[in-house]
Amino acid sequence: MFQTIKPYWAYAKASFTVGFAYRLHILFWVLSDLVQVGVLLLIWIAIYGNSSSTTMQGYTLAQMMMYNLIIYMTASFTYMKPLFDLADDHFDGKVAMSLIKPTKYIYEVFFRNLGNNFVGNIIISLPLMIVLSTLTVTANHGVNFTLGTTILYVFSILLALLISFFSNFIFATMVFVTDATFGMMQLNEAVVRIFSGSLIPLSFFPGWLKTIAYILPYASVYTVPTLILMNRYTNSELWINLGIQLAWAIGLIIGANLIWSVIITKMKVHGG
Amino acid sequence: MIEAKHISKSFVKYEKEKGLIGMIKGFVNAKKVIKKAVDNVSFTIQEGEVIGYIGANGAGKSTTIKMLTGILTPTSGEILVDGIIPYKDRVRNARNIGVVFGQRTQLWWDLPLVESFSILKEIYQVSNEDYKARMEMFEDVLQLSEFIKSPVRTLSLGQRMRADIAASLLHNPKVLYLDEPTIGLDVNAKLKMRQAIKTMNKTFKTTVILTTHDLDDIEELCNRILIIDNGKIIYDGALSDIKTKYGSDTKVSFVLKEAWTDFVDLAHLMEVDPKDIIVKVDEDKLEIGFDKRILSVAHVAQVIMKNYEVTDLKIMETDIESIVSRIYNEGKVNVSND
Ligand SMILES: Nc1ncnc2c1ncn2[C@@H]1O[C@H](COP(=O)(O)OP(=O)(O)OP(=O)(O)O)[C@@H](O)[C@H]1O
Ligand SMILES: [Mg+2]
Repeated sequence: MFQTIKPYWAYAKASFTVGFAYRLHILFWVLSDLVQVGVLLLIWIAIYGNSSSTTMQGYTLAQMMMYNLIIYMTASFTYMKPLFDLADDHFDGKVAMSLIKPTKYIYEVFFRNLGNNFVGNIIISLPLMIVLSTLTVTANHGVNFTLGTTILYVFSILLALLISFFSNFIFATMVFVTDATFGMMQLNEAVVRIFSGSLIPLSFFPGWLKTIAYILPYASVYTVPTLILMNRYTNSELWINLGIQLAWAIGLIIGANLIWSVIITKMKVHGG
Repeated sequence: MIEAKHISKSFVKYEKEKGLIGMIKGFVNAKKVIKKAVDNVSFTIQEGEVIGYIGANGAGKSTTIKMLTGILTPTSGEILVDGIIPYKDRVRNARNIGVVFGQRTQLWWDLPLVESFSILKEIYQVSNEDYKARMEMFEDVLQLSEFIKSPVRTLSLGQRMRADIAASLLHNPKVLYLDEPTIGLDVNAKLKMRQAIKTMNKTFKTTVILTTHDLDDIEELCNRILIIDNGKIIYDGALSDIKTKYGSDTKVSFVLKEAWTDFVDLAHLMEVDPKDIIVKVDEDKLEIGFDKRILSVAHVAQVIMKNYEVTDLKIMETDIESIVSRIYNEGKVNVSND
């Protein structure tokens, strides 16, 4: 197992090195993200200010703000965007250079994304984690990180990382079929944004929308780890959600491999 | 080492009509056009052979290479490379092969060259000793050290190509596929590239398949050539056979003092059959084409100079370029009729 994974770490290392060289890009991109989160927080402050009750769907304003920060942290911990890789590799025929290597393309892209993900973790997630921890220790925001929830959070994040990658990979393979990258990216972003819970907690959704959200895998990527860290699940809910995550991870890995094995035989490789 | 049995590859293209209406129509039912890029190609290549794979633009060379390397799956037919079906067992096959596509790179654009090598070392699991030995050999032949610390994106085309060929050889592959490895290289860089290929072939018995538009590459490196035209193999054999067949075609052109107007039967003067010579006249220019094995240049020149006043004369022997150009134009090789 270790021997078979070893060559792939080279891809992660390479993209980490490249990504780190471009850390300034990432930093600007993080800044624009933070502005978005800031706007979201201001909106919630306004909503709570105009509301007669101090809690909504079981969240106080402080908890809601924590929710937004934690889900943002979760999103960057699980950030995997194979769509960029696939579009890039497909359009100028670079995929040929991957296919001559003694490694599987899916896992190559996974580790490439993992390398970028680490850059993001160092620049965004870890600092944010430290800020959040100090916040909870110094001020009472109605959220207590315990060792237990933190360990479960890490475990849940690892599953979320797999779900994030393989669901997006399946989505991204459509680039090879439709040749429509930009549209696919927009669609992917929009679907994730709405159904992940990163815009509004899913508990705010009306019933039918909630059903769709729980049928799609995105809740497992964003909402589940976030709520685990915020300690909002009962014991049975916790294990059920982890179980669903595990099922998604396994199902999507198998699905992605199946779809890719079909696409690879039909694929056109540009250039030459 | 390599066996291709009746391989074909068709591409489906959707032809769209022009204009907005056409675009909308095309969206609903575009006309399906099937392009046979490779058409029933078969060949066998032994270990240690260096094969030149040539053909005009769009003939199907790159498509064949992509199938041999496992990148594309043939529409029909079968390929075996060292006992492995490349497109079925791609990863295992990839360990045995090195590939250079001249117009792209397998190096990491943003990283110093040496980092690309160390990444490839890990991907192919090359041992430290082997890595060191190979880097030393590359240094001898390809002189990479002057730019090994520079990011790949800053390398010149020739430097990058040298680096790419080194990258493809790092794991000492059994088969090396080179798709236009000398494209855009200067004379010296080409020599280095050829030297590297020769060295690998001699030292490790590496089997090499090379596509190129530079026929010097072929003359320098290949003992056997395959010519593909419109997806079909039209020649498979030694380069020397083609050269003897076509290379005996010779032309002598004369510039005469006065325009050639007497229309005498030159074949008769030279005592050969009229179909053995081709005469072209343009006022004072007279060009005579013949087969060197039937007529000698000296004899032709003698006959003409005896009968006319000649101010200039030029002898044109067929070089490999014009042979190949003739073969591409005719779309077939006539080796059978002698
Ligand atoms: N992805 C594709 N979709 C449609 N047609 C293709 C595709 N790839 C190649 N072709 C067609 O197949 C034919 C052979 O292409 P190929 O790239 O193999 O030529 P080649 O011999 O390598 O030419 P060159 O010397 O110009 O590189 C061409 O007519 C080309 O247009
Ligand atoms: Mg080509």
